[in-house]
Amino acid sequence: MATWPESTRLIGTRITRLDGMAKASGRAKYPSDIHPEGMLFGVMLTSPYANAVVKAIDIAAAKKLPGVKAILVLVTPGDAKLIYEGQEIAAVAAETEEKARDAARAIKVDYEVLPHVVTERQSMATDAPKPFPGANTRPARAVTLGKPEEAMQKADVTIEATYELPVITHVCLEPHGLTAERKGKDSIVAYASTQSVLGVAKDMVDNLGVDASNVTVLTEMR
Amino acid sequence: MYSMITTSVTTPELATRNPRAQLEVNGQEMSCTVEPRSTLLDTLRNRLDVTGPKRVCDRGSCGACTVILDGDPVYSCTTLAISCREKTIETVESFDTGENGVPHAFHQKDALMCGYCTPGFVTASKSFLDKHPGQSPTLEDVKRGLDGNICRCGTYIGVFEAALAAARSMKGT
Repeated sequence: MATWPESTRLIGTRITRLDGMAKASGRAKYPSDIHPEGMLFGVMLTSPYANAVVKAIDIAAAKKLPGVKAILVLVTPGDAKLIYEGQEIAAVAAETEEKARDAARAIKVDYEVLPHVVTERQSMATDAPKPFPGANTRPARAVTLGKPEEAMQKADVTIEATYELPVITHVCLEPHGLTAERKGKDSIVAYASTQSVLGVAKDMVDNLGVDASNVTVLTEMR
Repeated sequence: MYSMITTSVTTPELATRNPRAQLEVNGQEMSCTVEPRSTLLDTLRNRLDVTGPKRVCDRGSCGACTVILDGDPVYSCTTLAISCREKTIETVESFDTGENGVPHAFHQKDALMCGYCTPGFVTASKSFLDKHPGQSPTLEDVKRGLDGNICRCGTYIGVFEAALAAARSMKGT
């Protein structure tokens, strides 16, 4: 049987963070700090509406702007349904971030704007607009222990109330993004701010047609 | 305690002129092309590869981009690069990393976790201490001095301890 050692080597000692000095001195390189030669900046055009249909999209003027290298339209005009504000419509790559923003702004989108809901109560109303196909609700999940209904009936006093919690988001300061560098035609190195390096690698394989063995994902700062 | 920098709005026509700007960063003369609308932060990070200051909110709320401009802490995300010509720009990379420096105090007091806000806090601390040489700030003083920065890991206790420790070592006690 294991016994507690007479003296411990690490437990109870004060150990400074291995990457503490790199971070405190500004020398730590996060994915957002990596700027390979010739790097292009990506900017997304996102939906300003919470419920809309993209009827037409025109990238001709945006494409002609100086420094614009590529524009990728991510929706099919006609049947593209936007179901939240901020939903991706197109992606622009340009020589500088400013130029990429100019180009994203120059993309002309013809929207059919539909009514939207903001709160859960509005969303559950019978006549609520339904951005999601089917319904705005999902099946509830409940964990029941004991016999609550019986207990309520037997209780001397009962109080009923509705309890609600807002969505909780960590909002870490480091942006979730990545810098990717093509090393030749068939391999790629990605510096990613992620908790899933394997997930990022799989995305590279699935979307860029690179062999898994030629994908490197680096997340050095945690 | 942040200084306000007067900024002006430019038109896209003006933006295409792209003047060159000579900037003094960490004692070094650096030169690059900037658009009149380019912020000091983006210019430092994207054109001069000075990546210590971090871009988070990009709207003067979080403090991760803090640099010292002519002795004052400023949000470099809301400062135009072109307005910084003939001014002295200090970023976290130039600070003394020795035992009496602010970065050392942050390291020793475990004043960081993910570290993304840390360059801003270190810079704000350095600026605060530079402005109060030889003094012994209280916890309240330090809190007020660093009230332009936020941390989402919740390292504030360590940050305040580090700033106080750095004040002590700079005073030599």
